[in-house]
Amino acid sequence: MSVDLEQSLAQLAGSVHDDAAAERMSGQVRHMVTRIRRRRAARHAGQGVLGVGAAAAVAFGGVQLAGRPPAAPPATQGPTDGTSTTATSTAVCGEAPPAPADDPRAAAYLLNAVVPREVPYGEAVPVSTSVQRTTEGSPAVTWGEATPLSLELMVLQDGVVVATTLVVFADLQPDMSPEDVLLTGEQYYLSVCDAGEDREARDPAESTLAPGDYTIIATERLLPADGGGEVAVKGGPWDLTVTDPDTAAPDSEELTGDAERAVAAAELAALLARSPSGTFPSCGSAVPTDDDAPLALDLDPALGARPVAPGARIGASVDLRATGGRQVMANVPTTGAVLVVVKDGVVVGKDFRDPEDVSMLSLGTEGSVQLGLTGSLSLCTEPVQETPTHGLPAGTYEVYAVVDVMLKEIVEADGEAVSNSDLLTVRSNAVTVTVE
Amino acid sequence: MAAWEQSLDDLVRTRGTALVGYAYLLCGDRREAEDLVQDALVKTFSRGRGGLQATSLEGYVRRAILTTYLDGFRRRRRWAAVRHLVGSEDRAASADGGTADRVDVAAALAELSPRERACVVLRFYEDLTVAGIAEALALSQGAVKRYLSDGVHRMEGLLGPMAAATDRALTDAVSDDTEDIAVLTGRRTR
Repeated sequence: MSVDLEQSLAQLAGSVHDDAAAERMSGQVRHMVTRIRRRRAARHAGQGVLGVGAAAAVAFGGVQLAGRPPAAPPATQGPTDGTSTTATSTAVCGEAPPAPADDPRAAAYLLNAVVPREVPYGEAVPVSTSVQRTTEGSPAVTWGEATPLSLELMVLQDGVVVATTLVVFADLQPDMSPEDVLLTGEQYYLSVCDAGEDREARDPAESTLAPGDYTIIATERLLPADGGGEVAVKGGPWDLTVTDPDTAAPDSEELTGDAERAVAAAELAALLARSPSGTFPSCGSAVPTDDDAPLALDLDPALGARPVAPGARIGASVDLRATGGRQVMANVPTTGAVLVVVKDGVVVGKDFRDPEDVSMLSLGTEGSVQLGLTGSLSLCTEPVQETPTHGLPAGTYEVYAVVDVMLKEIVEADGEAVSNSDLLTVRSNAVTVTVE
Repeated sequence: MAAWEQSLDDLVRTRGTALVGYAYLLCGDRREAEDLVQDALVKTFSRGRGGLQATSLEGYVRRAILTTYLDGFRRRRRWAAVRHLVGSEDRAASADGGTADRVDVAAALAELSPRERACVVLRFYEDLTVAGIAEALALSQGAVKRYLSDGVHRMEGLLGPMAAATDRALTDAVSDDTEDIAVLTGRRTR
């Protein structure tokens, strides 16, 4: 007897067709829609990140401004390196920065920068810039829309220029990859006005900004692809404090910590003042009453043995087990369980998790599976942010380990096997923790 | 309900089991096949293609099933390790007397490497040409012929000689190199 492979494969494929399979697939549509929405949202957020990256391509991703010169100054640094014939510094030491020119084309752009509020004396100042378009729906300026020419940063104190640096994007070619002009991680150094003109020869310590309060402003020169000539886009001011590690830093940190705690306390109070809403364990949702769930998590009470700091990150393990003599097969996130913080029965802390990656686990009547437990004692936000902004205010809270699983099959204690495709939120016992 | 959600619902309702059947040929396990199809549907619809009809969507989903399978469907080994706990037969019993044959074919498929298996399924179930398989799997046509040769030869060793129709399909697939046919079928020698 010979084998007709085409026919055999068709029969084999058809052998999985049955009503139960069709029902299972249809039952998964809602779950798939949820996953697709989540991925689309993540993709949308990813495009936003790409947009920022593209914008950074016409400025640059980041620059470290330091008092100490790098071992080998970058070839693109100006203005004394002679790589540019068009870009020159506009700042004059001891004088107010030049007033922005009345250029309607420049008004179409916005220069953004991320500058730390504080930096210790003698440390580099990480600055990250990007250019956005203000006149259109899509704000990011992309490579091809404009070519970066130079970026000048001016440090002001009491309204006058006290330090400056000019980065010139030299040797740009039309076919150059945007990555070629991303200067992330490069270090440039400030020309501090009262330290003399010859920065190569002077003592590096002298070129460091003294402790004090400053503002930074910037000018990015762009050559838009519209053929209208270059534009100078202004940005800032951004506040910067250079702290003295011996005296200023502790007071400053204390004040910053107090302000942080006050904001966190106000946000927590606002969260608790609302009526609980949403599905557990989303931020602001209520903890559901116990039911006969087929799976359970066992959280070690020792987690609450010692007080923890606001915002402290928790890394522990938790045991997942089947209940009631069942055998359960389910898809479980590879990221493990997440720590959920509850106050007065309402979720007030839960870190963001993307539950996309899952592994199938089988849990029997004996033993359990250990999952990782991660999270932080941080205040949650609505809408969800990937990075928590505030640590929880001092006080006592209940914490749970929580994991969302996709059930596949449950074998009851009497041996009856039931196919089940429900999404189940498994919650552990509560453990009381103290934030101080 | 958004248009894409309606498309997803329609596709699952009308073609869901067919897709599972295709995935089943590739991975050899019904539950894993369902997961594979779900992952492929999520991948396909997450890309947000607009204006596609159900027929073209199915093509994208089939492609996604294939690539997801070949990229190392991560639950395969784990599921294989625990499937005995469920204890249910993957294939539904039928009255046509073909169950035993299907079990044999399934067992023979299970002996193939993922790429051999994919080549055999794409050629003999999806009816793709060698060029089509090569494109789908990002392989050279020579490599596809080699995988087909090895795969069919191994199945033949387990199942016995192939029928004339299978031989013809194989011959068509490698018609540009008749010397390979003798090796592929294993019934003639150079």
